[in-house]
Amino acid sequence: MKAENRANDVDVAWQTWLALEREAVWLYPLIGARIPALTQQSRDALTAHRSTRDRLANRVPSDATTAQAAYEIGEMSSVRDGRAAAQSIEKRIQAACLTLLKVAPVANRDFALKGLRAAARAATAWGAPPEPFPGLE
Amino acid sequence: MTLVVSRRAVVVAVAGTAALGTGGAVAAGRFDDAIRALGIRPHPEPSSVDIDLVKAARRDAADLLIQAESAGAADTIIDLLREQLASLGGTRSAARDRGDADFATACRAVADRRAAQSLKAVSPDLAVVLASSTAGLDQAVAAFKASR
Repeated sequence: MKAENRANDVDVAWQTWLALEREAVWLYPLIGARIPALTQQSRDALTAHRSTRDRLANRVPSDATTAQAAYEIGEMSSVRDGRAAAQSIEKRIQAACLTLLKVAPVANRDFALKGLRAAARAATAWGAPPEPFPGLE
Repeated sequence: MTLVVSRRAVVVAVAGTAALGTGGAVAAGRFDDAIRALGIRPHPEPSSVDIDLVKAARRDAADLLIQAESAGAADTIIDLLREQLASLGGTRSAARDRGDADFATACRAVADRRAAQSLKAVSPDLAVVLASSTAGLDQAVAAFKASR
């Protein structure tokens, strides 16, 4: 039973991260389209997240998530709104990567750590202040 | 369902390892008494591998803090490094100024070492703290470079 719970935690952690990458692939084109000053940065972010999503989709043991038609993002009419939305998704990805790193077998730690570091750097690039422990709640 | 890693839980767990790394079993015993008083069950004795990893990370953190101060880094970066050092059981007074590399280069090197330490950690809690603080150092490098 304990092993089953652990396997379920690992599965949930993979799928949580994949779902967030799908959200990022939906979000960044929207930011780029609505806020011209952020178009290039959004384009670069989209490329990175699309690649991560595809790599994740190939690794996730059972992919039960699907991309939604739309996600709740609130106001999106200024550079500040765009940066806030980008920081939000990158921070949630950090938390997902860290959870995976904690519950998954050691062999998967490197993959999760690379995802965590990429999301932390991305959050800073979108204007988030540096934190001592990104991804920890 | 969403799983979340609690900062309090993992920092408490790593502090037990840090206590063993600094003051030995007596300090760790006092630490266990303190967290029992908070109603938290003490963690099992950490592995020697983890104690060595914490010691190495603590030395890096102490040296990096001195370098950041020498480089005139922003308060947000100094505070970040102080908090990381404290979570590893280190103190500012134990630091040595290496002074042989610019801060961004030194910080990037420490981040890469800490990432490697995270992959070696026996305790998942220690792996989490080392990984998260690695990402924090990445952010410190980016913020430092943006400020120059």
